[in-house]
Amino acid sequence: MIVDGLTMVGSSINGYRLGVEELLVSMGSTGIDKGVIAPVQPRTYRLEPQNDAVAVAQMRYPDRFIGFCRVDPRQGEDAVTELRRCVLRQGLRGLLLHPMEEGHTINDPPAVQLVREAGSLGVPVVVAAGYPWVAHAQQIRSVAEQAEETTIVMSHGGQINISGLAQADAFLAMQACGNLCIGTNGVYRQDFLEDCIEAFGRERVLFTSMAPVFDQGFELDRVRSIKMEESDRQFVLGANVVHILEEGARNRT
Amino acid sequence: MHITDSHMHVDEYEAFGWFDPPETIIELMDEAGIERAVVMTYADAPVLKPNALRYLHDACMRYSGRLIPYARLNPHADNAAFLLEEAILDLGMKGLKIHQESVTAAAHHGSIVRLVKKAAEFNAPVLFHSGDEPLSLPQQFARLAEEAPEATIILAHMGGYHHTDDAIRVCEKYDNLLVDTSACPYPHKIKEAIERLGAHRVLFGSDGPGCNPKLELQKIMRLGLSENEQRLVLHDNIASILERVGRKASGGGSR
Repeated sequence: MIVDGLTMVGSSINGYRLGVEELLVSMGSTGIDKGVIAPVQPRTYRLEPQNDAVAVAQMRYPDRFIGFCRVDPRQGEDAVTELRRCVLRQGLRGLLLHPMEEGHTINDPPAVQLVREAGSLGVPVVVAAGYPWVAHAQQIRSVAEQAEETTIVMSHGGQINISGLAQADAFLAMQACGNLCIGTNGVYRQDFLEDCIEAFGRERVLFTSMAPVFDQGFELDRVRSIKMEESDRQFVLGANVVHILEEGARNRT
Repeated sequence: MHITDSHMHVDEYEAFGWFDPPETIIELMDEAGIERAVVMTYADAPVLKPNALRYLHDACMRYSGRLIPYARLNPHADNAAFLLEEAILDLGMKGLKIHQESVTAAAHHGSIVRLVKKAAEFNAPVLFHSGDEPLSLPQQFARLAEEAPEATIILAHMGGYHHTDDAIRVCEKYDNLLVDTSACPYPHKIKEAIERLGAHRVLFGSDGPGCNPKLELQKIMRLGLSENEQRLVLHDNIASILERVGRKASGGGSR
């Protein structure tokens, strides 16, 4: 089973958009069975209705979508309340933090509090990672150390740099924290993914497209191009996401 | 259809932890169906790797006809111009590579401008890193393009992750700027570059072997280009650039 560990649905204030039906078409044409969906940052700046829309999509297509909520740590306790509402009442199964778009630093105390709260609720956190100043790998490592019960997935392989200059930081973060994983979207150099799989095991690298910012089909090609055992590739392509969600649910119960 | 990759690496450089002898890329080229590739080291001669040019020359000789070397140089070195001339005239190199983060200078720095003008004396193209780093921003190429209008300047990676639009904009303004597609994570932006700049100013590159050449090629193939556009991007553009190298000698190349 192929599971895309991160997509974003809705019309973003940042100029990109992806509708639920459009995503289903893309998944159908690329052979993706299920996808994590999270909200975009909307023009209204209000994430609550977007979280509700994700919950509706998950309810409507339970076999195709896994809904994650998105909150803004700058909202303080209101953000914690929204996370709890989304998980406990709306049945959403993870949290997306996007420090670049929301305008906060990932290791600010309110963001750390949210990551810890997600762990206590038994849901993973995906961090839009690698953005300079706000979400680079060593900042995320600092969060992971303060929230050991939470599984954190760093998008972009934990680093956004087309010289590979930030790969060492991402690698060190993975080495330091067993609760960190990386998503594959947009990663510069496939051999970085290969090195991570070799060093940290097939369980800690997840297929994420981050569509529509990245092209879902091309990002799937990226994972297929990783030089690895086919049996291991099945973990990266989908089994790891399923395992992380199931493990969180077990802890919650 | 002939395919020439305009951006690959051959080097074994411990400090970066990247060990990619020529055999590595030849295998990947064969897997992807790429006939020839422009190659350069990871480390700059003569500062980081004094013997880089000789190493690259010898590596390419082992696969003569398939690997086309570019001299990767630090323009601040006193003998940079001499090394470039020697690389082109004596070692048969076909271009210059500058990585601004590695040499700690932006593209408009005087040392870089002088070396680019030297390359232009031989009609040799200059491949630059372009991306999101402070010394590699696409708009920094405007000044260089104005100061060296005779040079053929290629912006690798099309501006990285967050400066793709800037890369296209600056190329729209200056005819002597081109882009390569290597590691660009947005297929639709490559299509847009072809539409806005023309297919004759977009070069296929993989940045292999770290970036998988087969995947990078798939990226181009999924764009839905016309046969002519595909031929230009995958081969003809870089072939015609390389064909001109060494021909002109307006005040240079007369050793």
